[in-house]
Amino acid sequence: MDKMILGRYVPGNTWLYRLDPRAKIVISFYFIGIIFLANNLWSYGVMILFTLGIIAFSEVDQKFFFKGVRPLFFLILITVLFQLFLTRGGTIYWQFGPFAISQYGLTSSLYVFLRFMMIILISTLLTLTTQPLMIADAIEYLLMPLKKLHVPVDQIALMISLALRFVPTLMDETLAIMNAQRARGVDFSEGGLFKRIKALVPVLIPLFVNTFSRAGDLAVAMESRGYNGDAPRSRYRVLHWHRRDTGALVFMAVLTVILILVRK
Amino acid sequence: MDITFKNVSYIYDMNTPIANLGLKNINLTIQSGSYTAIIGHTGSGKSTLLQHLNALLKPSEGTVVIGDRTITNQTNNKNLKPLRKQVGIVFQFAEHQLFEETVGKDIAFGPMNFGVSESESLEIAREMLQTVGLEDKYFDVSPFDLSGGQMRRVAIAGVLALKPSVLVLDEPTAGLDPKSRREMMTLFAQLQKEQQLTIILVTHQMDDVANYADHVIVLEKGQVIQDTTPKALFNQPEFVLAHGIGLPKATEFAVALKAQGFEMSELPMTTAALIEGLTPQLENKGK
Repeated sequence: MDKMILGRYVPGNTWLYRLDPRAKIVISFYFIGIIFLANNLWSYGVMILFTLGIIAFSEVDQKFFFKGVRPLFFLILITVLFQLFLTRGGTIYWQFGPFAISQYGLTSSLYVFLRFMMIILISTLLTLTTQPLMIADAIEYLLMPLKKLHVPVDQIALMISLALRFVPTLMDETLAIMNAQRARGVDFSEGGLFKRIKALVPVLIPLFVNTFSRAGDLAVAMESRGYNGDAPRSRYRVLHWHRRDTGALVFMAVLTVILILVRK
Repeated sequence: MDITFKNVSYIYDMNTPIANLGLKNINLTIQSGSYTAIIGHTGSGKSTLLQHLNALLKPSEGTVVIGDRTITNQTNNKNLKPLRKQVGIVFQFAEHQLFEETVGKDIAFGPMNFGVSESESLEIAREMLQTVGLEDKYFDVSPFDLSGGQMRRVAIAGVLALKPSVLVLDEPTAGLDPKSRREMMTLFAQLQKEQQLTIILVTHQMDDVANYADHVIVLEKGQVIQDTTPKALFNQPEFVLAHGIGLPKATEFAVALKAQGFEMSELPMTTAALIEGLTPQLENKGK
C-alpha cells in the first residue's frame, strides 16, 4: 500500500505545481478526450512524446513515479489480454476455441494498452502535483455554470472536499486498527483467500462504526457553527488564473492540431 | 524478558520523496519486571518506538532484541505470533478496536487467535472482565452499547487476555474520568507487582510517571534525551521545563516553595513526600 501513488499528493513547488488546478483538470480531461483521436503509429507517437515530455519536465521524482504506477500496469495488462484474445480481424496467427491472436487484435490491444497507460500517467501526475482540496475547489469552479440548471453545485463541492479530506484520516485509522488487531494475533498475510478475507472483518467493523460516529460529529460541529448549505459564501482559497495557464491551454490546442495532421 | 534497542533508526516512507525520520539512533534497555514511562511531545517518536516492541514496525537500521528474539529490517513477517503473544499493546483509544457481537467474544478474540480453545478463551474473558472492574452482566452485551470508558476497559481486558509478559500502554487513561483513571493505573501497578509484568507506559501525566514508574525515557524529535529514574529527572526542573515536559504537581509546588526560601534537599515527586519534607520546617517556624 505504501508504494501506491494513485491519488496521492506529494508536496513540491515546480511549474506543474504552480499551474492553476482548473487548467490542470481541464487539460487532463481534454487529454483523455483527444487520446481517442490517435489512430496510427504517428499519432500515438505524438501523444507518447507529450506524456513523457510532461513527466520529464514536471521535475517529479521519476523513479518514485514509475514505481508507484507499476501496480496499475498489471491491471491494465489483464484488460489488454482480453482485447488481444477476443478481437478478430485481418490475418489470424493462432486460434484456440473462442480465443485467437489476429493482426487486428494485436494492434488494437497495443493501442488500448498505450491509451490506458497514458491516461493513468497523466491523471497520476495531476493528483501528485495538486492538493486534493485544490482539486475540489477547481471542480466547484468548473461546475458553476450548472447552477443555472439548479444542480446543487455547492453541496456537491462540499461532499467532494469532505470525502477527499477524510481519505488520509481513514488510511491512518485503518492502519491503526490493523495494528491493534495484529497485536491481538491477527495475521493478515497468512492462510488462503477465505481466511484473509475473514481476517478483515475485525478491521472493517470498527472502521465503519468510527466513520459513522465521525460523520455525526462533523455534522454537529458544522451545524453548531451555523453552517447552511444554501448560504452564499466567500472563500478562503481564491484561485488566480495566470498567463501561464492560458499558455498551457494554447499548447493543448497546438497539440490537437498536430494530432489531427498526423492521424490517418 | 529484557528489551534492548541497539542503534535503532526508523524512517517513514523510505525511498520516497516524502521520507521522514521517525526514530534516530535509539539505544536503550528495558529490564524485565520494570515499570518504564516513555514521555515526550506529540510527534517525538513515542508511538513509533512502541510499534517496534512487537515488530509491528521493523527498524530501518539497528536491532531490537526482545527476550530471545532479534528483530532487524531483515526479519521475516512470518512467525511473529509468539512474540506478539508475549508483548501485549494497548493502543491509544483502544476502544476503536472492538468489533465482536458481545463483550465476552471480543475479549476472547485475542487468546483464540493464539490457539487457545473457545471455551477456555471465554473463561479467560470472564476473568479479565472482572479484572478491569466491569460487572459480569456486561459479558453478553454488545460492546457498542457501552459508554466510552467501559469500552476502553473492555479493550484493555482484550489485551490482558493474551496473558502477555510485557504490557505496553499508549496513553491508556486519556479521556477517562478521574475515578476510572485511578482504578486503571492501580490495576496496572498491581499487575506489575503481583505477576512481575514488565510495563511500558506512554503518558503525558507526569504524576503517573512519579507515582508508578521506576524508569523513565524522554524522547525528543526521535531521539532519547534522557534515560533515567523519575526521581533524577524531576530533580532537574530546569531541564524538564526547558524541554516543555512538565513536572508532577507536588514537584511544581516544591519548586515554587523553594523560590520562597523553603529548603528542599531533594525535590519531592509525590504529595506525601512533599508533606514529609515540609512538616518539620513549618513546625520550626511555628515555634
